[in-house]
Amino acid sequence: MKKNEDMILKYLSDMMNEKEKAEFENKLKSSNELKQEYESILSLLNQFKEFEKAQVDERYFASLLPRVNEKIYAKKRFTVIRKLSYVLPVIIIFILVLIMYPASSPTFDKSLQSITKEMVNYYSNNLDEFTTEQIVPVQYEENYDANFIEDLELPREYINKYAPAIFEESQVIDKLSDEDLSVFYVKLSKFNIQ
Amino acid sequence: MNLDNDFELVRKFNAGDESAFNEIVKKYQKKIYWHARQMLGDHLDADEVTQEVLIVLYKKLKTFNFKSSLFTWIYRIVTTRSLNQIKRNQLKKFLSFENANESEFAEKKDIIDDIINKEKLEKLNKILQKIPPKQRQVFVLRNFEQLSYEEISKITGKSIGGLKANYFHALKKILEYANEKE
Repeated sequence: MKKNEDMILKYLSDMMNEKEKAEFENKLKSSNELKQEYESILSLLNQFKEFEKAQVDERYFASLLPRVNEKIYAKKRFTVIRKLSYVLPVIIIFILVLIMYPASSPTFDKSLQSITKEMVNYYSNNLDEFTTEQIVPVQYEENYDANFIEDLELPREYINKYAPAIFEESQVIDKLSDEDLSVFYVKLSKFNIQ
Repeated sequence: MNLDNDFELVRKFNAGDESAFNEIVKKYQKKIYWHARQMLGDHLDADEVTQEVLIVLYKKLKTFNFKSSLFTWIYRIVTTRSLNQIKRNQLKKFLSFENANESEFAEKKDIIDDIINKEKLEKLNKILQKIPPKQRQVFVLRNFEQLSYEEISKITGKSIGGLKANYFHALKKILEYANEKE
């Protein structure tokens, strides 16, 4: 049954030129053996399409959106609290400054207000960026690089020998950012054992 | 895929209509889940990646530039996240952070109800998980999602020639492992 395997796989992978393709299709019509082999491979591959057709617990998909929304809003709440924790001290300092150094002239008052406003804006904007970056590294998905995904095979000998010294807890891996994870992974993949 | 409708949903969401995001999730959540599931091989990891992807969507829809389809954009995120999860799992496994009991427990948590289907799908899943992740990725996108090489290229950033070679090797390995089983 494996006689024609490579030829069939080349056809299915679209690796034939037009002439080879036409020859294969003609042979498929005339050879029962090839036809049988081709259909048996197709039948195996079609089985993989049945994943989505499987009967699943629909409650999972029904509960997905509420769970995601809960996480999104929890993060939003956290952002507001965090922002307030930075902004409030700035406002308090501003009020204290006003109390301790009453404005001697309208110009002084104006410039003080403008500096405070700038500070508040600075903290608010930077905090927004910081919080978003924590969840999603900026431009990460857009700058998806073909070279980003290196061989996903790690040298076991190296890891068994050295890696426990690098990580003490599995949580460390969960906490790595995607970019750090990639850098670390590539380094390990390319490491040569002496 | 109805691209106009997708774009309309993104515009609505960006204009402040949160229900548009719910529509997008309802439309794509199964596709996202099953892609992650086939890439990662178990429900818990697939669930984690699916949630992560939906949160990323929510945060980043405002940066969507309408140059590619929403479908391609979502798949770019799902494939990247799935491969990253594989890396994390490999690191944990190699560093022996996860013991056998945890894996057994993880396997028991699933959303597939049908026992007949479940056994069959588990067999296929085992075969799928033996294929190198990059080949698995192309196989899943082409065979399961029925995407063209051009579309896969837009998602993965790989050349069409490279994708064809990956698909060919994936098929070869699947046949080899399927015959081993028999």
